[in-house]
Amino acid sequence: MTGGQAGRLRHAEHVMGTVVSFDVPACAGQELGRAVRWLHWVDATFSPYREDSDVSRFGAGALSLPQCAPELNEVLEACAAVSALSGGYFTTTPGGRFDPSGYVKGWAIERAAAMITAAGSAGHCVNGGGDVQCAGDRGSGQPWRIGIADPLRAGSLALVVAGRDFAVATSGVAERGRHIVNPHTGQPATDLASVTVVGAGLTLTDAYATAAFAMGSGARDWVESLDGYEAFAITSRGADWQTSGFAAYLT
Amino acid sequence: MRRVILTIAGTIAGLVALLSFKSHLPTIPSASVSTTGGSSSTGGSSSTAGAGSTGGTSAPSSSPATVPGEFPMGSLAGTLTAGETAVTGQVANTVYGPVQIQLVMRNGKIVKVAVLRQPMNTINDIRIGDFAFPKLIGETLTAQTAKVDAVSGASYTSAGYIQSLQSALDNRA
Repeated sequence: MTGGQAGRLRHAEHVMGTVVSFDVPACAGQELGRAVRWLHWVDATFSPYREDSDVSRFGAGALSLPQCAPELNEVLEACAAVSALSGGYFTTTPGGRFDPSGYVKGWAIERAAAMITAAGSAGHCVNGGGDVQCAGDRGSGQPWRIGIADPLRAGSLALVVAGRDFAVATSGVAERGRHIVNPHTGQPATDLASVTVVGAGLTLTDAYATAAFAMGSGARDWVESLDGYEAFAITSRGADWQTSGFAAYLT
Repeated sequence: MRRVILTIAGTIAGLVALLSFKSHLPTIPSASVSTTGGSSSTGGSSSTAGAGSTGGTSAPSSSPATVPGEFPMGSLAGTLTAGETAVTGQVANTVYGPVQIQLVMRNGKIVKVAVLRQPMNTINDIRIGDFAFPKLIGETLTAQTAKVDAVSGASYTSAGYIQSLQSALDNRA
C-alpha cells in the first residue's frame, strides 16, 4: 500500500509483527525500498518468533555469538548498557527467554530513517508500530506533529508533540494488553497506562520508554535524570505527569 | 457546499480504503445530499451523537474495544434538526462486502455518523463490522481533526494496525 499527496510518498510495510509507516519525499523511493529490505532482514535475523532466526538459535544455544550476524553482538552490548542505566528495568529476557525486541525495533527504525537521510531527504518520518523517528522537518520549515494516543480512550489523542529531528516512543497497555513485566517482581507493570519518551534517536528513546513503563511511578525521576530525554505519562488511574523539559515539545 | 461534499466524500473514501486494506481501492464517485425537511419520522436505532458526544471522565479499561462515540445503523435523514445536513456516501464494494456510510453535518462539522450498510456475513466480517468499523470512523475523524503526521502509542500488532490511528493517516488522501 503506497500512496500520498504530491511530492510525498506514503508506504505501510507489514514487518516485525507490526506495520511500519513511511512518509518520505517522493524522490526517495529507491531508498525507501532499501529501508524496507533492511527491516525484513532485521525481522529474519532478530525475531524471537522465528525458529530459524539468529536470536532464536542463539537463545536456544544452537548458535554461538560469533556464528551470528555481527549486529547481534552490537545489540547485546547496547542492551547491557541500557539495562545497567535503568537499574535492570530494561532486560533482554522479558518473558524469561532471550528476546532483545525491546531494543531491536527502535534501533531498526532509526537506522531505516538514517538510510533515507543519507540519500539526501530533507524530511521524513518512520513510524514502527507506534514508535516514531522524525528526520528533518515536514517541509517549509514546519515541525513534525506526532499525536500521542490516549491509552484510556481508544481512538483519541492525549496530546500532540512537535519537533524536528526527534523520536517519540510510547510504551503502554493500549494495544496488546499488559505485556511489559517488571523484571524485579516478575509481575506485569501496573502503575502506568502509558509512558511516552521523546529524544533525538529512536533506539534509546524506545528502550527508555520500555524501561520507564516497567519502572512505573519511579520513571519520572529516572527520565528527569537522563540528559536529552523527556517523558509524559498517563497513570492507570487516569492522572498524568511530565518531566520538566517536556513542555518544549508541546504545540 | 460543493467543497464540503467533496471533503466528506474523501472521508468516506478514506474509511472504505481502510476496510479494503491490501486490496484495490474502490472508487466513490460522489455523495448524495439530503438537507433537513419538515418530516421528523424516527430513523435509525440509537440517536446518540457520534463524533460530538462528550464522554466526561473515562474510567481505566482493559478492553480495547472502546468506541469513541456510538454509530447507529440506519439513515439519520429523518432525524435531522434545523441546520443539519445528511451526506450519504455511495455503496462501495470492499473485500468484506458492501459498505455505505452517512454523515450528518452542521456548520461544516461532522456531528453524527451512521452506518447504512456493513458486511455481516462471515466471522471475520462481523469482527470488522461490529468492532473495527465503528472505531475506524472515530479514529479517522480524530486524526483529521488533530492534523498530525503520525501517532505514537503502545505497539500495535500487524493485525491491530487496521484499527489504529496511524492506518487512518496512511490512508488519507
